[in-house]
Amino acid sequence: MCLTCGCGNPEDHEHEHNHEHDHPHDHSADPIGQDLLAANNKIAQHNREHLRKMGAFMIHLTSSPGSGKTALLEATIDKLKERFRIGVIEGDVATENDAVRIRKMNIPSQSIMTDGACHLDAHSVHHALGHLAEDGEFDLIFVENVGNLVCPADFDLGEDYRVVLVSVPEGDDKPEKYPPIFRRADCMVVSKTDLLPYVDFDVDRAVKHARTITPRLRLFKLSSKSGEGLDDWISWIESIVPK
Amino acid sequence: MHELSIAKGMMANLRPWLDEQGEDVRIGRIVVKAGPFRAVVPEALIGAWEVVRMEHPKTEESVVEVDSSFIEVKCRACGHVWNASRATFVCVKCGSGELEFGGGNELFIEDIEIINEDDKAR
Repeated sequence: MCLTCGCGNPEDHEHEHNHEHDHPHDHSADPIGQDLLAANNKIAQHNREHLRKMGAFMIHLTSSPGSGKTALLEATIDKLKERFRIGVIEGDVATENDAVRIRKMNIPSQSIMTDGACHLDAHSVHHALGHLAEDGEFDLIFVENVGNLVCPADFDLGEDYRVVLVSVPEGDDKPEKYPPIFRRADCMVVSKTDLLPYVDFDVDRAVKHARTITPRLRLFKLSSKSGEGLDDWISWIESIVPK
Repeated sequence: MHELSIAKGMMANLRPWLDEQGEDVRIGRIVVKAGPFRAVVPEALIGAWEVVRMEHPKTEESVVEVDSSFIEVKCRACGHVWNASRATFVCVKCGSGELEFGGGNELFIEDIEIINEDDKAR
């Protein structure tokens, strides 16, 4: 039994639930053709079930280091903390700096320090969700992944929506250079738009290429610093979070 | 270096099946199909497997071979369809940027070579 949430060890979860029905036993599964991240995906699905039981909705933010994920969280929390009970899971290779920033806003934040690993996985998020639940009840949970535009792409964390940020100083060719992370995203946020007058970033080019990769990609252009464009982002969150 | 996580995932998929095989079974070659949207560096996965394979006695001698798949690209302007080894944003025939992608998300074991054929149990 998992000590963090009491819902069964997610690494071995198929052995914990009651077998009131027949289904193929996992031990005899043919490994040929199974996705190599099937174990992670199974825990991610378990996280979703856990979130539904908590009554919480989860949004996953991913991007390069320094694109403004934590700043966007701070601006979002500032706008939504009176409406939703918010919790945050902060992933970083080292330090709790981002979690500390969130806690300063009186928002519970669990830190996952990966000690070198370049991405979060569903297992680490499962434990963080368990610890977060000790701090109270939540309507909305954000997960901020380790800053990396390659490795997090493949790992389902159990989120309801995945958001990829591209800040304008990074350059408008990020979708062309890093297609996989855009392939798995639901939304793209072009961040730090207050810097557009000072850098060569063609928003249309970035959006066109990102939507070639994922046509359904929802787009937001905003500056967490100036507040420009934040209202659309906030309205979207308000529209998707059940309350 | 998410290939280490992928190698561990591969062992998680293999382990229950390996445990059911005969004592003398040893795995030789494992062929992995990998699509461009999974961002797998073949050399990194091969190296990661050399570490992870030691977690099970039946895979200690095994090696990974990566069979890279393609993205099917379709040009909405001229209708040309071709296979690309990575995401591309200009039609190779007419130069249009109005493209659609299909496939390229594969990441699975395509074939397993068992060294001891006499003990082959599948």
